Amino acid sequence: MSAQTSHRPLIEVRELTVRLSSGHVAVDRVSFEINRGECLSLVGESGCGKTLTALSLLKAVPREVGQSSAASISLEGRELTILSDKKMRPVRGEGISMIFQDPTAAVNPLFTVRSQIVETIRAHLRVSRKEAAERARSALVDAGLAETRRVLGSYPHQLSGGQCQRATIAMALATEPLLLIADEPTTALDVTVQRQILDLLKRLRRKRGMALLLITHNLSVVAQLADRVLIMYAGHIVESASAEKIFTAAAHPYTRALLDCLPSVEIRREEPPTIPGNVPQPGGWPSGCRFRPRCEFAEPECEKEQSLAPVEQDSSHKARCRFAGILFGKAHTGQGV
Amino acid sequence: MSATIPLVECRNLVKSFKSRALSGGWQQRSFSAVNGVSLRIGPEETLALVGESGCGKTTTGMLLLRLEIPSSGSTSFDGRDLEGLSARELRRLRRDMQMIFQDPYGSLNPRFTVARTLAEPMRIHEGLPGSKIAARIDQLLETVGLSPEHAGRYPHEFSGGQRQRIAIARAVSVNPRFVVADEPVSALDISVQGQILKLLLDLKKHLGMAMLFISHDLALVRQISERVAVMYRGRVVELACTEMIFANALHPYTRLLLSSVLKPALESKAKPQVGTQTGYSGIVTGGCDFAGRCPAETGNCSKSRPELIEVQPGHWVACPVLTAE
Repeated sequence: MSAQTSHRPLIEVRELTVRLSSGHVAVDRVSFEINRGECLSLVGESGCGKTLTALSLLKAVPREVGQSSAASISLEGRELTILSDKKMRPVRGEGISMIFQDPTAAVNPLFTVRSQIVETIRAHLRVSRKEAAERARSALVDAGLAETRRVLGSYPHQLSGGQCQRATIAMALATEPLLLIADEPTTALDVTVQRQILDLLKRLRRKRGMALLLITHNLSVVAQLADRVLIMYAGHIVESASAEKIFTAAAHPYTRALLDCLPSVEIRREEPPTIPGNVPQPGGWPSGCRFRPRCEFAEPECEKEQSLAPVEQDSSHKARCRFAGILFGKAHTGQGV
Repeated sequence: MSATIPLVECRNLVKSFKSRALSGGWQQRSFSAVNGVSLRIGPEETLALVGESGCGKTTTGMLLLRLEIPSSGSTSFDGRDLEGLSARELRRLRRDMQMIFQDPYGSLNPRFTVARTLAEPMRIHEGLPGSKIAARIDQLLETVGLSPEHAGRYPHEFSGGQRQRIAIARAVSVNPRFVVADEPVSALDISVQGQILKLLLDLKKHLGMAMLFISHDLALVRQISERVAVMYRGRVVELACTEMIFANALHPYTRLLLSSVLKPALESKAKPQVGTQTGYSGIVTGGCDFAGRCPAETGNCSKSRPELIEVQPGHWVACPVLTAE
């Protein structure tokens, strides 16, 4: 856990809902908070609503995709839900920045790295072009890029995937945000580069005391960075716990299934582990527990609505499963059900 | 290597691409994506080809299927050299050699229904009448874990995993003897990756086909392949059976790849990191390409190009330090 966290969280989200333009709900009353300097990880398969949740914090859900609403989203005590688009602009960048899965799609192919970082900086800070260029350079150094001169003068296609992701990280950090949202930051990268980018995020977080919202479907990535973990399934948060608890005493069958899916270089299994079936699409969610059709423990009782309830005495560990306390309350190895 | 007669074999494959680069005027530059690769794949064997992006894995796969024409070197399938074949003969042979691509969003025609996508190879290679094709399609869809009612739908109606199932159904529709699977699961969620791997394993057992499994993820490779070839900058640097690679990897690059795989458990604090600079200058040196990143590098590494040498039965490695004596 990160040290010196003040009592008030950095960002507090209450009852966040995203309704798609088709009318279906994709994110269903999600509440969470992130403390200063903390790394919270949002985990789930594609189509769970992870990215929509993150975009909602920036009020950046595209209009044609859907609309987000929340009882409250407060950043350092400031309510974001009531802000106009114009007032929201400085929050994006100075308050919250975001990096994406595909770094080559997140940058403009027609402009050099220098002009893109300088533009970002000057949109938020009143500094001269020259000073902005200097900040851009130091942001690249922070992001672990050695040949800053060459990279600054390069167009995105002249960089490798890893370099490009570092450049987008530099861009996101140049305005010194309080919270960085990293949406599958390493999924599109090679294993060797993935390690480097995760190490970079780890180092930057420590150096700047920046909070991180890490979105991923891969629990191995979570193990590298996260302090706390939210497991998301079909628009709901189904488990919320410290990273340690997730890896040693996961309480929700979905979390356990995700853990069991991780391939390992250390063992060869008889059969590759999977979660049968697919994530139900918004509009096609079953009643009651939404993981029910894919869950090996499902019983008729599971058709009733489940709430996110504390697992045993530990109120920081919550799960949305009626068996959570009974079946998984005890510590287990995290490998194999 | 394996004692049996290989189904697929290539010797000293080289593929160079020419590009024009602006450095003091336009200059013709040549870049060898694949640089002297020799491989053998036995019948019903799965060979994994592992390496980082840009190391020439996909080009090698394309060369084996003759979807790319090699600059030099030879490829043969079932004892026949692909070089001398006429277009007609090659086309007949294609029935036995199929490919599965990484991106199931890009590899399926969005304007074809599933039935039309699956019918195409059967029509071309087997000339079956429509009624028989329809029955085969239903059967194929069931084999890959979809249902016959999916036949009339379009690719956009499916999830990534389901699309990859369709792409696999297309590849196996003509009962190929050899399939190149190019990162078939890396675009998918981890929970779905297992499903697709399982399908590939089942199909392989069922149809008895050989496979080249291209991947950058060693954890997947462990699940599916019998032998592993590790590629670095257009060359094979280590080749051994899967168990040997995971128990006793010799080449420093293979070890780097293995240590890069994230462990699905909480990281112990302050873990030492290996040097992992990936900057590719494109400069061709005379020595080992990995020397610049290699923790075991000695002065001799840049002197001459290391050859792939058999250090133990079936375990080949190209490293001047390991094979010095």
